[in-house]
Amino acid sequence: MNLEEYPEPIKKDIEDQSLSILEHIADDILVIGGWAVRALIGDKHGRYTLDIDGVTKQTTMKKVESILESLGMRERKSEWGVQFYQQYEANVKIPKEIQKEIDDLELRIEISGPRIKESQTAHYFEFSLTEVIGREIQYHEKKGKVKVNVPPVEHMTAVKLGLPVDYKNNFDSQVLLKICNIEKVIEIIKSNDDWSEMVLRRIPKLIGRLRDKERLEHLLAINNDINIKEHIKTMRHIENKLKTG
Amino acid sequence: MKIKSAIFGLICIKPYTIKSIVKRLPYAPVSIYNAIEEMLNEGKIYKIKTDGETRLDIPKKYMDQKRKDFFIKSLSYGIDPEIFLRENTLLVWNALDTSTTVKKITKKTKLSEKSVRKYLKFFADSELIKFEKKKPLIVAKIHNHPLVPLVTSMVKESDKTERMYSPGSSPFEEIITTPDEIEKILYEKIDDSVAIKKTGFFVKGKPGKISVLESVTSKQILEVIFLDKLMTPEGVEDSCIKILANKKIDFDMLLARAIEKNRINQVGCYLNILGDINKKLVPNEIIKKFHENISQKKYIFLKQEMKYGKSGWEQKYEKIWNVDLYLDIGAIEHGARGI
Repeated sequence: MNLEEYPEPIKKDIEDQSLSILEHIADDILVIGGWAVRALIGDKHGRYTLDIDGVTKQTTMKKVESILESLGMRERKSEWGVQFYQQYEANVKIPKEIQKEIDDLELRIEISGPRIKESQTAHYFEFSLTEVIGREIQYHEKKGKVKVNVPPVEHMTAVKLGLPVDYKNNFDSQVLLKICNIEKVIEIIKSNDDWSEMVLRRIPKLIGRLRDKERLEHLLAINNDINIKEHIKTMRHIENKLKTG
Repeated sequence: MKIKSAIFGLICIKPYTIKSIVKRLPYAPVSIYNAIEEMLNEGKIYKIKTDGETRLDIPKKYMDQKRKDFFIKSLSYGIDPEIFLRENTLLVWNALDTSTTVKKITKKTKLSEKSVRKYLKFFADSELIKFEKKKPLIVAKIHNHPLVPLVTSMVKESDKTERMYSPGSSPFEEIITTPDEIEKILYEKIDDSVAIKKTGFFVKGKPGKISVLESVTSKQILEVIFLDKLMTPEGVEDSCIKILANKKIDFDMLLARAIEKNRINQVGCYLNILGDINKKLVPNEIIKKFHENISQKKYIFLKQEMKYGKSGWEQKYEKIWNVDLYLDIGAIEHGARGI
C-alpha cells in the first residue's frame, strides 16, 4: 500500500481553490492551524491540510458568513464553530481511478470564536485578535499571493504544545520551536487560562515520541534539521518553568 | 561471447578506461570503439571520472545493478550470461514456471520444438533445470541455484502496490510493500530522504519529504495492513483513518481477519470511536456486526501508549468492547478532521 498525496496538479488545484476562497475573508479572520504554520514557516514546512481553520470575533462572524454564502458555500455546525463547505470541482484532469474519491471531496473552512477548547476537557486557549502578524501565501498556479493574518509564532507554538500529540501537531511544534522566543512562549502559555496544564500533560508524550527512533516524529525531526537533544532540552526547560509557576 | 557482453562483463568487475578495455579484450579496436559508443547511447554503461581519468561504469539504477550482479554470478558459474539474457532463452525460462513438458513449453512460447529442446539443453548443462523423466521429457527448475533469484528479480513484473490518496500535503509518504519492491524504490529514491522501518536505516536526501518504507514478506491485502497499522499510534491516529476514508476496505474481510488475529475487540472499539466522530467513516451496522463477535477476553489497546495513562473518556468504550483503552482521542479526532 502506498499512502500518498493526490497527484501534484490535483493537489495544487485543491490548495489554490481553498486559497482563493480564503482571499475573500482574509481581512476578517485570523488563520490558525496547519495553514498558519505553513504561512509562518514557508514552503519547507511541507504540510498543508485540506481544511482552513480560522478564528474571528462574534461580531464579524455574520459578515464572514454572508461572504462565504455568496461564494456558494454551505454551512454546518462543527465541534469548534461553523464549518463552511462546498464540493470541489476540479479544474484539472482527474485520473479515472480516483474520480470517485474526488467526487466526494469538499473544500472546507472552519471558523470559530478566538477561544479554542481542548477536546474532552474544559481547558482552552484564546487567540489574541489584536496581536497578529501579516503573512503571504503564494498560489501554486495562479499569479499572486494572499495576505493573511496569523498569530505570532510564539502564540502558535504555545497552542500547538498543548494540543493532542499526533505526528502533525508534534511536527508543527518542532518546526515552530526552532524559530521562536522560548521565554515568550512560556509567558503566553501561562497567561492562557490553565493551558499550562495541557502543555504539561502533553510534553512527556511529545518527548517520548520524538526520542523513539522508530517513530515518524523522530524521522521528520531529523529530516528537518532539528537537533533532537537540543529540542528535548528546550521542552524540558518549558516543562520546568511551567511547573514552578 | 559477443563483444558487448564481454565489455559489460569486464566493467561489471570494475570501471575501466576505454584504452584499457581495448588493450585487454581480444577484439578489433574499431569493433570495441563502436560497441562502446552503442552501449553508451543505449545507457547500458556510462562515463565517470576517477583519479583524473575517464572510465566506463555500470549505471546505479536497479535493473543495471541487477544485470551486473547476474553477469558476475553467471560467469562465476561458467554460464554464458549473454545466452541466458537473450529474449528466447528468457521466454523458455519463464515458461518453465507453469509448464514442464516440451509440448507445453512449445505451445506457450510459440517457439519450435527444436529451439525449445536447445534451450532446455542449455539450462540442463548449466545445472539450472533437472530432467525428472526422459520419455516424455519432464523438466523442473532447480530453484535453489544462486542464479535463479537474480534472474527472477530481472524478469518479474512489479507487484502492483495499491495507492491510497489523501488530501493535503504531507511531509512524508508511507509505502508498505514486498522486499523486491523496496529494493527497487531504494534505487529510485536513494537521492531523497528514505527510511526503512524496523531497521534504523535512514538517509537524508534532497530537501523534501521522506519516504517511509515498510517491508512485508508478501503482498498484503488492505484489511491485513489495516489490522497491523491499528496496533501502532500513527496507524490509529492517521493511516487507519485514511484507509477507511478511501472506502476500499471490505468490512466482512476485516471482520474475518480480525477474528483470525484475535483483534475483534480492538477493531470493533476503534470503528465505534471513529463512527462516533464521523458517521460517514463507519456505518452503524458494521459496528453491530463486530460487536456480535466480541471476545470475552480483555485486551489492551494500545500497549505502546500505556505509559501515558488514560484521560477519562475511555470508560464508555471499555465497557462495550471489553478493552483496556490507551488511545489519544484528541489525536484521533484531529486525524479524522483532516480527511
